[in-house]
Amino acid sequence: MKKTGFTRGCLAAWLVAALLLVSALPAMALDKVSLQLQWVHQAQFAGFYVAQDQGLYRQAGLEVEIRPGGPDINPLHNLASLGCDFATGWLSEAMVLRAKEVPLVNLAQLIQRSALVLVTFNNSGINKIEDLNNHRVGLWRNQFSVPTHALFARNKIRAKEIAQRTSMAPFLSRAVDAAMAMLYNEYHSLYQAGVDLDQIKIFSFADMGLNFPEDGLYALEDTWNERRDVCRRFVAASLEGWRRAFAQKDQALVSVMKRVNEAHLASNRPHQRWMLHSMKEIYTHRVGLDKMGHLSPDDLKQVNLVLLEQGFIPSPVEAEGFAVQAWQKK
Amino acid sequence: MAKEVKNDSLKPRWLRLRARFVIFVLSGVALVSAAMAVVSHMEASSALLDASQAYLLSLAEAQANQLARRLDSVAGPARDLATSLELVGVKNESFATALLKQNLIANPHIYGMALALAPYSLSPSQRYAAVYAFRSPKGLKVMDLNNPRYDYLSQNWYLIPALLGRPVWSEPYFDEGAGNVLMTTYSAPMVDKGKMLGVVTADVDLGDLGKLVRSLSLHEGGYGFLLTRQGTFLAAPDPNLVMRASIFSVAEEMQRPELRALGRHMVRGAAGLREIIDPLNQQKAWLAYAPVKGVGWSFGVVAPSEAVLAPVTDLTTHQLFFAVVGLAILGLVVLLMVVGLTRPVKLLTHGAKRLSGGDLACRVEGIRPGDEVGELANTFNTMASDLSAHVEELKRKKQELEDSLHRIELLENIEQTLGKFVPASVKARIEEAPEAPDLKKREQDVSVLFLDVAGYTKMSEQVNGEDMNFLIERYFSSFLDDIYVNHGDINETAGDGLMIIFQEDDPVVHAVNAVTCALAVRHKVAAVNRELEGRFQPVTINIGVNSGTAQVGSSRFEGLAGTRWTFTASGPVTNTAARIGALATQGEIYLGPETAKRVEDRFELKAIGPQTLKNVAQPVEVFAVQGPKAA
Repeated sequence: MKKTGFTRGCLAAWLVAALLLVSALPAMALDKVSLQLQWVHQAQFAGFYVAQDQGLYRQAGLEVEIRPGGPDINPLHNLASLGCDFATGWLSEAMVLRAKEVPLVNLAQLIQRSALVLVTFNNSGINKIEDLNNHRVGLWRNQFSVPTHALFARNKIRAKEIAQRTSMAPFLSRAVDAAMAMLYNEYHSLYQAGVDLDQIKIFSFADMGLNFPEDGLYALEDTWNERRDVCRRFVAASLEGWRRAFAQKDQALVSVMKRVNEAHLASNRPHQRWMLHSMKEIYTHRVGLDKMGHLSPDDLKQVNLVLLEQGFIPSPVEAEGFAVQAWQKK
Repeated sequence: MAKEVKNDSLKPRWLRLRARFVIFVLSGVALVSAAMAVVSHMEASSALLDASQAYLLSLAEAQANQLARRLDSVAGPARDLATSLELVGVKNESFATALLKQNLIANPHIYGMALALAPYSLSPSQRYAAVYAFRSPKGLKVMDLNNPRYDYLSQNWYLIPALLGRPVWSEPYFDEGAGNVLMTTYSAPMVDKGKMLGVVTADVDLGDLGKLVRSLSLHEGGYGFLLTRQGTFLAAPDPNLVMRASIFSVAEEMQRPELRALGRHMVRGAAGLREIIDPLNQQKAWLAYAPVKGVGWSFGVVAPSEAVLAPVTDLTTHQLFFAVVGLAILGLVVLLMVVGLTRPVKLLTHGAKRLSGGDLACRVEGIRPGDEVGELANTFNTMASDLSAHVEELKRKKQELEDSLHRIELLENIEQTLGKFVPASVKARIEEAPEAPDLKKREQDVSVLFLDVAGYTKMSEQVNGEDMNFLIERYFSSFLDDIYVNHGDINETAGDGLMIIFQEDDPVVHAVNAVTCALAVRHKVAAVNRELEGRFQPVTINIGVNSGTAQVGSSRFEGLAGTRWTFTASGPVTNTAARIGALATQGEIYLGPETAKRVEDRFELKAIGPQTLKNVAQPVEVFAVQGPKAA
């Protein structure tokens, strides 16, 4: 049955009025901000969900809209085109964009240790990284391939590069001999597809001198300059959300699975538990729970080096004005 | 007397006969029933389990094969098209479109088909060349897939068969274009002389898989499920599992490594049957699984062990029910029977108690005859009446015995008293043969002594009867012993005299005995006379003795008052002795000639001279005894 525009309008008006009444009660206007995630809802973003579900953002005077990502969404591009206030993204990609004069600032570096690996089957004959020569290697596109290309260049590997999408099917069907995987996601998906972990071998980029710290929180310089307090409150509340997520994983998983289920995503609870577990390791790597968000100058230096080496950037990205460390209390 | 049976040492039974009987019979029957139930349960379980297992396995295999055929009917046209295009080649996109439409019309199982060419196949300037035809609510639709953002070349349906050079079934996916329908795609590569030309695909709508699996004819609580090559649920009883969870994620969630091992076994294309703990409800269940050939999926069928064995459980429950009812009825019957048995026993016990209490008239009544208990009752009653008869008989016998004893006592008294008056020779004869004493007369040599109390008639007039008896007893008693001592038999007592017979084998001896006795009597009388002197007149005893052969024995006198027997020695000797005695006066002792001749050596005799005696023809020489001869 179709309602007339008039009745719908009345209904909407009433709803708005009711919402206004409710929200007016705290007597404090909430700052509305939006966060664009890199990927679909999963435990990779558990801390943000917890901050929202447990009212941390609200307590910080924020009303945060969390937008899930997907294969067709690039959060940092989105940021640049003013599509959102905050976005998560890889450090390397952000630096490339900054080198291209996109005025991004790194508010906080979330992942300290790269979870990126190359995975091969034990029986594929690839025992060391040089063995990838002449083998088919599935590579993610764009900036995701930067560490791999750096790896290949450093080791003079000529691999048959196959454009890889999100699915691990080419690897599972042995259409490719090696594939990129995140330890917290694809690696475990293989396990859930019946591959025993002792059947496969991983080559960790972090262990191979290519620790590209991945997820970080980004905003445009303007946002940072004009709404610095909002930025700080957002970062602080988000990191607090992460601390809670790590402390109470089961509760965090409820927040994760709620979003997974609502989005009808093909995932399951044990996979998200694994991911959350992995997140704690790579978030707190070196910095612990207290200094989460810290962008290490060494990491920055190393990524600069590789990006320069690979020709992604003409000159190094300076920490000054980029790594604003918004997580630190002023 | 029978030995008394000691029962005190035996432990008493703690249950009455009724309870014992009922318990024993019921527990026996219950044991047998239980054993039979167990055996039949085991047999039936095993048989049913075998049948159910075979059914499950064949069901899984049949479903897997059916699904494989259906998928092959989708794969076939794509494969054929790819093969023919390898030969013909693809000239342009409209040609491709026509081929796809034609195939879709011919194959209603196929949802959509794509023809995607390798990069720059049509022209060096055209990287992408792919057409997709599919069914829509408004009929067949065609679209090109040449959007660079989509980049079909990197899509798995193109990429994997292109890289592998062989047909591939994709992992199932939700197709958003077709309204989020579960689909899987078959991709067949076109390869000409090692050169990759492109890929032909065929999509199949798997939206009815859930319905298919749910429609399986399964045990209650049973279900079917379908796993992809990666172990992902394509169909499952819980819709939340479908395309979201794999058997491996379930194993991980539940921390059940054996489930993971099972999953690996399944997705490797194995078929099998095993008992598992159902991850959905943690109950034991049977799982049969079979591979869906070609696509590499695995079809599983699960039946709860409980449901598989439900008919057996039902059967056992029924058996149990009927066993309980049967036992109850049996118990009632046994109880009735036992009551029927024990009631007479109680009656008999009661009767026996009364009997032992002395109630011999007691009889058990109300027990039906015709069986053992009836016989027992009958026997009891017979016994009781026999017993009372015996007791009566015993009483009678006892009375008789008492009477006899009394008579014997009397007889002994009589014998003692009368013995004195019965001749010793008669006594001897009677004792020789008490039943038939030989008392017939026979010739015997005897000495006969007649003793006469002189003046008895006169005396009996002077003293009263009582005194008379006293005197006679006093005198007679005084010399009775002398008669015995000398073996004389008192034969005849008249009011004032005695006849005494002496008999011995030696004729001299009894003659001597008779004379000795006569002297002793004279002596005794003299003594009694002295004793009674002053109170009574002295008594004079005259004695005559004769010896010779006489008829000795019993004489019977028949009379009106009955028969009277006397024992005597009759004949002339006796007669002569009596006459000789009658001659004697003044206490003389006269002997006949024969006697005198026999005793003359022992006694002083004085011849009196021949005397004429009454009834004796010849005069008889008579001798008077002076006394014993001095030695």
